[in-house]
Amino acid sequence: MSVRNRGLLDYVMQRVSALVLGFYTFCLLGFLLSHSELSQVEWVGFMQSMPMMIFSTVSLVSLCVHAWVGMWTIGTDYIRTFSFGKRSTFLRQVYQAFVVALLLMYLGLGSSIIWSLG
Amino acid sequence: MNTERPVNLTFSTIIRQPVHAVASFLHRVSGAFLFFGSAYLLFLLDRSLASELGLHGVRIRLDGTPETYLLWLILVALIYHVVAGTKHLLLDMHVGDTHAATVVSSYLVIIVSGVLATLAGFWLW
Ligand code: HEM
Repeated sequence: MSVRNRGLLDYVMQRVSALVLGFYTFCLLGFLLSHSELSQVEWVGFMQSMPMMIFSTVSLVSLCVHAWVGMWTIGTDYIRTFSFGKRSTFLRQVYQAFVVALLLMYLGLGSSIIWSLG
Repeated sequence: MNTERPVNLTFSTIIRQPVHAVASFLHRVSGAFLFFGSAYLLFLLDRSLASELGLHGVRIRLDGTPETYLLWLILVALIYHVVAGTKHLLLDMHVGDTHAATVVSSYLVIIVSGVLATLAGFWLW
């Protein structure tokens, strides 16, 4: 997709990832609601089954994509020349670096939790 | 600079917004909150999967302690964000995108989320 369509790509990625996250939330809450006296063996058995590990990984990546587009939008809405003058570009870059750093941490820690590598 | 430009600095008119604006802003606030809240959810997932003792620890942490409010707040944000997000996706497909319909659906989003948030509270406590 050309650079001109970056906005469209972001729009589509935010919506696809929203659907994945919504479905994942629904499944996890459904499982927890239907297992109130959950044992650890059951919980690990559920989360560390191959389908759930793949689903969790896809959702983790979706979270990163979704939150990146979302937080980017918020940043460009508020950190503007109108409020911050000449420094706004620099401030926005610091903000975006912070968002990316936290999401990369989620991605790394999250994968190691899902695949129990820690 | 045009010093005659209109400015609105009257607090009561800045703060009083139509219901769609409130619903939309809450969607944004809940999204940003979830961005940070995800760290706590990952932490709980890690503890609960680590060992028998880990899951037990999570249960003790969330047994009506102040920390339970933190999880509840994250759940409330998630509930609101998903309910409002669903409305947003429907609007994208031009479902209910007339002015009258959005007033109704914005109230509906707030009410439905409120009910679900209460139910989540009963579940946690
Ligand atoms: C759990 C992790 C989630 C996080 C951290 C998150 C975060 C965010 C953020 C920060 C925004 C930007 C808000 C704005 O621009 O005002 C956003 C937008 C959005 N979110 Fe989420 N979200 C999550 C889950 C979901 C889910 C499960 C849905 C499913 C319905 C969803 C639907 C949406 C939609 C449709 C938008 C677009 C709003 C717009 O274009 O203004 N999100 N999200």
